[in-house]
Amino acid sequence: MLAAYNGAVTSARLRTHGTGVIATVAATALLTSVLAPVQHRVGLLNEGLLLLLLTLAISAVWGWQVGLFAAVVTNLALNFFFVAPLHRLTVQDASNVVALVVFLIVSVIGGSLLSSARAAAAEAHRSAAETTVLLDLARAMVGQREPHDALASLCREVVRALNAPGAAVLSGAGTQWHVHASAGAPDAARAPDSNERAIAEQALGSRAVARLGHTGLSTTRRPRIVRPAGTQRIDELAAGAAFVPLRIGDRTLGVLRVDGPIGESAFRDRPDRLLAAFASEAAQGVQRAELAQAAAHAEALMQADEMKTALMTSISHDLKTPLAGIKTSVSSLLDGAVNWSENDRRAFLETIDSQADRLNRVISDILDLNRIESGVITPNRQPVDAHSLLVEARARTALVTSGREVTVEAEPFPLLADESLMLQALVNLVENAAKYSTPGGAIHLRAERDDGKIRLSVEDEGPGIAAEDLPHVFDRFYRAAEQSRRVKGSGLGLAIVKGFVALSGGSVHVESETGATRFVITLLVAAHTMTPA
Amino acid sequence: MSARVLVVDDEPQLRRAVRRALEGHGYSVREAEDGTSALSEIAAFRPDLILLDLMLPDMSGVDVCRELRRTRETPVILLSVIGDEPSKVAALDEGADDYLTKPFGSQELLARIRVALRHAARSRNEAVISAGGLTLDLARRTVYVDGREVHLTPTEYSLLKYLAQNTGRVLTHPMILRAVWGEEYAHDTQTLRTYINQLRAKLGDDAAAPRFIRTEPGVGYRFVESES
Repeated sequence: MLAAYNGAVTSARLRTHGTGVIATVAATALLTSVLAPVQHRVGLLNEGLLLLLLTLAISAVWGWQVGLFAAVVTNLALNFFFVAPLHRLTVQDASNVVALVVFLIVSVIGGSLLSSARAAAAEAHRSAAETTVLLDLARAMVGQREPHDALASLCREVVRALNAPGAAVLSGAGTQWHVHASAGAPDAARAPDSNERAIAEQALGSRAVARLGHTGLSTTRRPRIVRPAGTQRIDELAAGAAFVPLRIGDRTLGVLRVDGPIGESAFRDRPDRLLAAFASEAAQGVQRAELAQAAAHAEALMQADEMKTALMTSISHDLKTPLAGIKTSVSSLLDGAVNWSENDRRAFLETIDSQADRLNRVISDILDLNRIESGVITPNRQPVDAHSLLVEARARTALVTSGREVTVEAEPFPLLADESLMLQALVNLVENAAKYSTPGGAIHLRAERDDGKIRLSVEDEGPGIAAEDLPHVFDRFYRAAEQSRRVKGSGLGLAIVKGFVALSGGSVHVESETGATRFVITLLVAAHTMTPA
Repeated sequence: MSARVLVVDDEPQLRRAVRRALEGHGYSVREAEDGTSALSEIAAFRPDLILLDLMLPDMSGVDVCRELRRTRETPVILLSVIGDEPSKVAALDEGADDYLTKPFGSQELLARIRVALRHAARSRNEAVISAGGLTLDLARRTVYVDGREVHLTPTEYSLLKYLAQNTGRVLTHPMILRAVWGEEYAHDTQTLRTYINQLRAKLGDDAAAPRFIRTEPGVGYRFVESES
């Protein structure tokens, strides 16, 4: 079995040399048969030159080994067919011996010069191809922020550049190996078996490319063949794999496994340099991605920290400010040194009352948001009448909108929502409009039906929202710079609106221009008829 | 004549409650809802004391303090909320005298106002400072605690003198360091801590139950004087 395999390994090379030998014999025979009948007219010098030309051509195509063979064959042909005595390998004239020797020397030198020029050209071609491949790899790996993505790009580029069936990046030790990324055939993602693990460890230990079976990549050493256990077929055997260590300095990132046989011939003869370059580029790519990930992680932590600080500051202000009013009033009422008038007592009590309400609202907001975020609310979606919803929202906000005109324009459209959540969302929007719009300006509540959807809008007459603030108005604790000075609020109201609308299966967005801000809630039309209220 | 107090806060309910509480105790009170009106009220009303919220709609309490200190030494008590620490310290550095953290009771507010008014009334150039058993004779550079003389190094003496001359005021670390050691030592908080400890030891003071020098956590120190 091993012999058969070895035969398969070298057959490709033999086949090309064999073709060269056959071509040499055939071309020599052809040229000889053409020249022989007319040799007296052509002359020995020209015949020799023509056969020399043939030798050089063969060297150029099949290399110096076949070229040497061609030099010998053409020399024999020249001697046998053209140098007297004809049809004998003896030479009559001593000067012809010199001519034959010179012919042989020129053939050999010319042939070897040509084949080394050819090898240099092939090397230049390979270098150019390598450069292109590495550039493509670098391009594919730059900007990868996830180490896994960087490794996946590496595998894709290896498969593409070598035209290999598959490639994968593995790491591990002993029996614990993991496939981090792969590309190519589905089989490329396979977990390494015991043979592959042994070769992978060998590659890591020797810090050099190690091979299992035939990959189509030639080696300077004899291919190391590991006989697999069981009864694998020869073609499975022939599809081997190369293992390339991925390292940065003393740190091992893993092993690149390239499945054979590779299809790209340019790198067949000297694959080590390319694979080493791949490994170093890959290792750097992975390190870059790891650093980028660490930086992104640090950034996220910093943002979370800022968020926490903003939350603490916001909650402190929102809770302590109404408390301050209550505490001052209560402690004044308890102050025995002053004989408060009925008027004073009432004013203190009113402060306590209004500030307790305010405190209650802030606490409810925080709890609502917490319920939304922890997912404990189970929405009860059912058909709701848009018109009565808007009318009810207007009624519940009568106190904060006193002195303003609040209009409702709506048909009794049936929309699908959780009634109490949607009502709270609308109340928050109306309160928001009352807080941030021009004092005394009108607020318009509308419901419009549009292509299977119902749009509920709350529009105010106000300064509008700055373009840079628009994308953030639904963020928790986000308050536009201009407004945070003018109006005190928790910055939670709109975040709650967004949460409640989402629970009703809808969406909310904001449109703003100078003179008007419009919050629009889009909900589905209820499919079946409403239950009468 | 009753003392005039200006209440600067953008919360109308709190402003009104404070106003009533103070008026009940005979103070003459005016309100301002933002920094601009506060500054014009300061010029028109000429308050004896200012209660100043740190978060104002148009400018910060720190800015109001800085603006005020250009022309006046009117005592300022900051009204702050937990989370305002950086701006609180900045306002103290700009010359605010004291701070109250919201929510506060009316008794504490009234007590702080009395202390601030009393110290403002006292000249800062007296020859002898007496406070709760401690006597500082500025002309002779001598210090007595309960009648017993205490020997201080020149730096300890300068430190005690600066604290005592600002009795009742909250002094931030940089303020004390600048006044006693000089500008280049403004951030050498550790040195200050060492000297305060030495001074407390010599005066027989206890940081946990201070008789003279009280630590204002994260801010600085205050020379205290028991109300009598």
